[in-house]
Amino acid sequence: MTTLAITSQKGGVGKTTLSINLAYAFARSGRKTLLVDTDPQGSVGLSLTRQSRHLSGFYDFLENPVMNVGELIVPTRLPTFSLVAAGRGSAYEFGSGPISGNIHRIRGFVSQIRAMKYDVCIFDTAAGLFGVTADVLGVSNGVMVPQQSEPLGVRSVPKMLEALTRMRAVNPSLQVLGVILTMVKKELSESLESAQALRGLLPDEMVMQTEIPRNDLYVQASARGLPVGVMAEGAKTLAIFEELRLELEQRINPPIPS
Amino acid sequence: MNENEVVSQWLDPDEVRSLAEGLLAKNPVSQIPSHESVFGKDFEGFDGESNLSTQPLQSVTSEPANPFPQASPKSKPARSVVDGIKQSVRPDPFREGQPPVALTAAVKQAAPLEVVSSRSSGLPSLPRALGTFSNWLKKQTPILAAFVCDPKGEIVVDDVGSEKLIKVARSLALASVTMGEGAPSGLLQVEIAKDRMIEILQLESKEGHSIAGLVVARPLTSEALATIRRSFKTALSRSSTPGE
Repeated sequence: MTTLAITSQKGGVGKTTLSINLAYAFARSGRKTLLVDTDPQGSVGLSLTRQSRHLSGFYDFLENPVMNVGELIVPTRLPTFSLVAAGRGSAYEFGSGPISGNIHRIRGFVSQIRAMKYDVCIFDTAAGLFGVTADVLGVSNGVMVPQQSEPLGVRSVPKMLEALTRMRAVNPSLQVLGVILTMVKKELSESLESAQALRGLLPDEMVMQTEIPRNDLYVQASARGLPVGVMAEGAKTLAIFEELRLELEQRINPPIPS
Repeated sequence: MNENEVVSQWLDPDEVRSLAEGLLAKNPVSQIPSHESVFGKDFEGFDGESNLSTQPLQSVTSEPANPFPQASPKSKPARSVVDGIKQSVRPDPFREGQPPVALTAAVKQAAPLEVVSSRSSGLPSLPRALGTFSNWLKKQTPILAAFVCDPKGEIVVDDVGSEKLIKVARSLALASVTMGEGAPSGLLQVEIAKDRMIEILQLESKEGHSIAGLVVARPLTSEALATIRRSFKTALSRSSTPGE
């Protein structure tokens, strides 16, 4: 099983949108995929299920040592796509160091979903590489970093790289799969310049070729509780995430079994 | 404004690229450059040296026991050690009378120019050397957190966040010197959790023994430790060179 964390130092860069739609792309490819919301804001659940605030989830699992992951899994209409909501627990810790104290429990979480024969597990994380997010990175195989295509996003890159460097000291097998440009607005020169600047700044292999454009469709999809690709108007966006999945699969080592 | 200006006004492209290239490498702990930017491009101290690497743990299990148990009052000391990367520094009586507010600030912002500016600050050479060394240490080695004490026991750098631990570590290091029981390399290793240890290095100077404590996930190789010691000596010699 491949465990991927979608994370960033900065908030509001499109982590949840990326997580949902990438997980959907993996599920559509036939991989048994679990999307886990580790952001205590519960954005995944709020995006995809109307009952999310009543669901037990990841943080309940962290707090309850006898809880099983199986109790938390929410199926979707796509049989290969399931999710775990953030839940109602309060284990989220502000300002803690590179490890929050939950890493053993999160390892247990991963062990259980591996036993359930999932092919891919995607963790949507809270902004900032500390606390529970650091623990998630401590057990993940790979990390992808969405970076908004705006000047402020580019300026935050050094902090993000430093934090990932520290995380790789904790988890040496963590593969940095790359930075993906999000919220790209082709009609805005500052957005394009930021995208170019980031590509000029980082090694080629660190920046994904695929870019996620800013699109009102994400807001509409969220309002309906759907991945964008499910919507009738979503074919073009679906193709972008399919392209991203393929690009990602070329980078993930060992490869995800077909 | 073109894209280069967008970037260069706000960050150091060389530093960013170096960090990024380190992240792309398969083995992150072997990515410490053999010479580093803090001393400037003319730095010669590490030429020809092989990269630092860490030794494999004696026993690694797929499901190691939780080094940092669930939150409880009893678990606080261990967690405070690993909270080392925290930016905040607690009020600490150990720091009273210590010069380096400015020095600590310089350490936190790694840039070659700051080394130059601290050299002209009139600080004695050892604090300057410790500051430069600490800066290098935090940026270029695979440590989780570090502390550095000068020979008087004053904490020059503390991102471990446990004054008690630092005092104990320093006492152990000094006791080993006094009793002649330290390892030949002057290194002490203290396991503080299942997969966390502090490596305590004695750093000799004419002012006495300074102490560096490095919180690491795996032991550093003797080669890595030798490189760290040499970086301190280089920082020391540069900080005492008149006119630099």
